[in-house]
Order: sequence, then structure tokens, then C-alpha cells
Amino acid sequence: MIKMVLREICKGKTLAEIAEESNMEYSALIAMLEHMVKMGYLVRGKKENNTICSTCPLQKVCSERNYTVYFLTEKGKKVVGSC
Amino acid sequence: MLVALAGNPNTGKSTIFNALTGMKQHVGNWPGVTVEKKEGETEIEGTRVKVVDLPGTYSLTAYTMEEIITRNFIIEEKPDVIVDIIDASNLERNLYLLTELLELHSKIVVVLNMFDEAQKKYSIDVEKMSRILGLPVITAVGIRGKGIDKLKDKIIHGKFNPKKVEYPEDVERRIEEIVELIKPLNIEPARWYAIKILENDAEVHKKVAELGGKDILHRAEHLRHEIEDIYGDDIESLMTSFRYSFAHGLFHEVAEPINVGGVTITDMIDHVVTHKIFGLPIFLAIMYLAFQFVFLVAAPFQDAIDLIFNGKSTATGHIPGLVDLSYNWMLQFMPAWLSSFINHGMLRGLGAVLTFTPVIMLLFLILSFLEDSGYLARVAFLMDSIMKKMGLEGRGIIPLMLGFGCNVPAVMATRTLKDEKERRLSIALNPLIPCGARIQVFAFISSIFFPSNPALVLWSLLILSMVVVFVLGYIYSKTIFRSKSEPFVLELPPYRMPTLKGISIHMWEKSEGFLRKAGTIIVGAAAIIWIFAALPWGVGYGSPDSYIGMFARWIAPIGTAFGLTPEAIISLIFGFFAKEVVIDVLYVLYGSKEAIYYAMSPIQAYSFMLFMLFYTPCVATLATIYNETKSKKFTFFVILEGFALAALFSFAFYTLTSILGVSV
Repeated sequence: MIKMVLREICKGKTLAEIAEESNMEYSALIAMLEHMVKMGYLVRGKKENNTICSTCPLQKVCSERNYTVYFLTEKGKKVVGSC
Repeated sequence: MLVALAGNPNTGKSTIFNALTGMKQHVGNWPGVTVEKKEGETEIEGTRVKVVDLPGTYSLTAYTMEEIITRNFIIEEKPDVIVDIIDASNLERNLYLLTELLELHSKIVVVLNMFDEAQKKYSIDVEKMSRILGLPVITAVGIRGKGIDKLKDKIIHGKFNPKKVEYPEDVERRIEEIVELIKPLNIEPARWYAIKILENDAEVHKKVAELGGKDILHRAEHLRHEIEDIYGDDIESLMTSFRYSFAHGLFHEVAEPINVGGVTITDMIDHVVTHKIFGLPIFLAIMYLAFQFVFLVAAPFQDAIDLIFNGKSTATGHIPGLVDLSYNWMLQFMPAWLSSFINHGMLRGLGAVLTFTPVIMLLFLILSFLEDSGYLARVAFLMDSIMKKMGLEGRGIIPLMLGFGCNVPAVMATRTLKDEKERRLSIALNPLIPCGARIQVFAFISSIFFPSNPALVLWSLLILSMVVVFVLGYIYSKTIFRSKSEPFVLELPPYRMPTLKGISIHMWEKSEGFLRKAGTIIVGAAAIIWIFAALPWGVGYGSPDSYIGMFARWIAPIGTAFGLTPEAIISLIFGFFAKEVVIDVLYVLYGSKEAIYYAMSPIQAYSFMLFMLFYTPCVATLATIYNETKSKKFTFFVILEGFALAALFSFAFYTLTSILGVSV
């Protein structure tokens, strides 16, 4: 399951999509991601570190100011191989 | 006896702890850290029990202080029983910790806390969960103190035969090998240590190394690489995945989602009732069945009210009704004209209205049921996609649907549409939707001329009005009311079983308006009609020499093109005041249902209903249209539109059936 979730994140899918496709509760997926952060597969980043958000013209007025973006670490990328 | 409370953060652990220990609590810190430690005492069936509230944690890895405290407490203090407090409304998330606890301890009581909330999301098979896990599983609502007695009972008397998380055979074989290797170290629980050694857990590695087990660690490293080679993944993600899979599988074994995730009941119903192809036929079938139900149930009540007011003609004579009895009684102390005015005018008018009260009430009962159940919102959703294809704005369907009740609030409801052209389009189409009053008239006529299937006749008129609305709306939206389409956002409420009280209140709110109208406008209109039917003095009531009779003779040539009798035309004119009055006028002019039946053929009756379906809205609706648009031109346009459509359909139907020689 870990590999599958990492691969889907690598593909750029949203958490809602991953939860739906894997028939998993959203709250369970979030807990799993946090677990993976502790294990070193993922790293949390804020939107300013996110290239998608940083180039968005609506960045300053975006209501989703505090959302968390998960990035694959080198360890995570090693598990996934290629997306 | 030592009991440890474990669980994820925010699962109501503290609430359960307080419920178990009451005031006997001690709050401090775990040694060397600032993580809060809560201890308390209680007595269960004479046994003194020390309860320790462990820090909330999602897993038992060695990454955070809370995790290390929890697992070290379990390993070192060896509690007699662990109580795993689970937030049952987030069941899957909470099960991962349970899989780890199962590897650490064999006596675990599982508490499904917040069970009331969980029941809104899933149906949880508690028995099955207990069977699969081999552990006592109880339900609780901590904040209400529910389940605490059961928990105390299980702490003392619970039977434990726990199921362990089973890893694949090649992993299990290597775990067993490590279990054998660490036996000389006397560390317990051996299986947990073996798994953690295999997983390369830093804390456990350190401990084993300190105990002189470096060779064991070397061998474990070799075994770990073997597993990683077999599965192509690193051991940590692999073992974690096995546990997540167990939790995921357990969740789906015991919990059946009701309204979140997966396919819910609402999803399944919506899939059918809002289906692109089947949705509309289902809607039409539901409306047809609803009308059938209304007529079937209302018929005996209608007959009874009709009998009370108008009596009944039989082979042996006429059984007098309230109108006749009252007329004869009043003759004793007032002139005949006054008694006739009161009884033949007003009382008969009231009787006619009351006859249709059961139909109105049942109709609103059904509509209230469909509304409260959540189905009408689906109809709006369903119609939205269809209307968009017809070039119409989706949101405009709401006022149109309200039009089935009364066009006045429906026209007012167009205020929600922001675009002015879109709003006018909706207003222009609204009077073409048969309101409750017109449906009453159709019900009345249908029951006389088409007694075998009045619902089918009513249904056909409803479909025709919908088709006309769609076609005309399409033409309007492409021509005179062209506007930019706005996205239609409608939240579909979950389906629910309407309460009897709820639909009764809705039914009464809507029916009350009708009854109030019956007591004022309709009876008043009936009195005015009586005057025109009785004057000038000395003529027979409703005879060709009365004012009404004269007007009818004058207008008769126009009506013949549509198959309308002079009396029918008069009723339509009075219908301008309120559509319900049409019934009363027909009653007053013809005197009885039988007379109406003999005055027209079924073809004429249907043509009459077609005319009535579209011709001018009532005065109240027109006043509202003017108020909302402040345009005499637009109000006149609505009147003209109605008459044009009425004339078109009535003429086409009557002429075509006459040419083809159709008879019913």
C-alpha cells in the first residue's frame, strides 16, 4: 500500500483521488501520509515551496493558505522508482 | 491490576479515563520528558485497578516521544489489560495502531468510542470484528457515559484469543528464525522484538546490541536483504504496507459505509433516478402513480361530499342534498330569490370547492413526501441537464417546478435568477405550467368524462405542458430572451424517510391557502355568477335569457372552432379571477355533474382542458408578473402567449379529431 500511495502522489494525483481509487477513508490516508513523513518517504512543504503555487497569480488571495503539500524524498523516490 | 489506555489522539481517551477513574487522578509528566502522564484508580468488582492514560499516537514506531513512551510502557510495565480506544467514526485510521498493539500485547479490549457518530457513516458489525480479532470489542459513547460498565466488565472478565497480523510465508519464516535467535536474550514479547529487528528499528537495535546480540543483528540484516530482494521493496515500507493492508482489510470486513466513500445507498438511488436515459421516464412514472394514488384515495371522499351537498339522482327519484334541503327550509322565512342566492349560489359554490379538497390535500401530501424525501431536488438536477440541452438555463427549473403548486410564488421565485433576460424567460414560461388550481379543474373534468382513467388524461396534459415549455423555452432562449448561461449548482440532500408530522405540516400549509381562497374569492365569485345567471328579474336561472345566457349566445360562434360550449367559455372567463372558479361556474350553469356530462363530448371536454391549460394566467399571477417586471408590455405578452397557445392546441386537437372522426 505504501508503494501504491507514493506512486500516486508521484503521478500528481490529489489526496481525494487517491483515497477514492484505493477505497480508503480520507482520514486514514492522511494518517498514513503522516506516518510516511516520519518514515522519511515524504516531506511536508508549504505552498511557497511548491512551484505550482509559487507561479500562480492568485497566490496572494488564495484561501488555501495553510494547506500542506507532500513531496517525495529521495528515499520515497527510491521506493517508487519511476512514476 | 494495571490497565493502560491507548489510542490515536482525539479519540475520547481522556473522557473514558475520567469515566473510569472519577476524581482519583494524578497528573504529572513521563520521566525525563514533558509529555503529560495521567494515572488514576478505580475499583471493579472488588479489584483495585490502576489506570494509565498513554499518550495519543497513530503508530508505535520509534520516531516520536509519544510512540516510544507508549511502547516502552507496554514492554516494561506489562499492563494486565490494554484498552484501545478507537474513534469509531474514523475506524480505518484507528485500526493501524491496533495492528501494532496486537504484536505487543495479547490482552486488548477494543472500545469503539463515538459509536453514535460512526453509525451515521457506517454499519459496523461489532460481533464479526470481535470474532476476527479474537478480542472483546465493545461500543461506547464516552461523553454520555455509555459503554463504561461494559468496559469494566470486559477488563475483568474479557476472553482473549488474539489474532496476529500474518505476514507472507517467506517473511513469517524469517521472523520465526529471529525469534529462535533472540531466545537467549530473554526479551519479551519475542515476536515483536523479532519483527522490529527485521525492520531495522533503531531503538530495538540499540537494546539488542547492548544485550550482546550483534551476531543476531548481522543475521537479521542478511534475512532483511533476502526479503527486500524477493519483494523489490525496502523492508520498512514492506512491513508497514502489510499492516496497513491488514487494517484496510479488517475495516472493509466489518464496516459497511452508509454515506461516505465507496458506493452508498444514496449513490445507488441517484444512479438510477438521475440517469440520463431512465431518469425522465422514472419521474413521469412517479408523477403518474402519484396522480393515480390521489384519485383512487380521494374518490370516495369526493363522492361523499358531493352526496352531502348535491344529493343523488337515482332510478326511483332524486335524493335531496344539503343545498336542496337548505333552499326549501329557507323558503319558509325568506323570498325565493334570496334562498336561491344563498343556496344555489354560495352554498353550492362552497360544496364544489370542498369536493376537491381531498384531491388538493392528497396532491400536496404526495408533493410534500417527494420534497421531504429529497427526490424533488433530484428532479431539478435531472431537468437541469435536459434543459441545458434545450438551450435553457438550469436554475430556472426551480420556479417552474413551484408553478405546479401556484404560479404566484413561482413568479416571485424567479428573483433568484440574476440575469434579467433569463428571469423574464422563466416568468414567460411559468404560466404554462399547470398550477394546482388548474390541476383541480382537470381532475374535475377528467373524472366526469374519462372516469375509467382520469389520471392518464391528467398525465397527458402535464406532459404536453412540459413539452411546450421545453420547446418554447428553447426558441425563446435562442431569440428574444438570449442570455449567457450560468452554471447550475444544486446540492443534492441525502435521501431520508419523511416524517408523518413533517409532511402533514407541509400539506396543511399548502392546503390552508386553498381553503382560505375557497372561503373568500371562490364563494364570492360564485355569488357574482349567480347574479348574472339570475338577472334580469323574472328569467329562469341560467336560462338563455339571463345575462350569462345572452353573453354565451353572443360568444358561441367563436367557441365552435374549439369545440367549446357557451357555458364552457363563460367558465373560462370567470377562471380569469381564479382558476378554481371554473368548476363552480360549470356547476352553477349546468346544475349537476350529469348535466355537464351530457352537454359536451369527451373530445370537447379534452379540447376545453387544452384551452384551459395555456390560456391567460389568473389575475393574481398577472398582477405578480407586472409587479416583478414593471412592464405592461411584458405582462400583455404573457397574456397573448397564453391565448395563442391555447387557441393553437385546442383548435388543432378539435379540428384534427373531427376530421379523423375520432370519438371516445
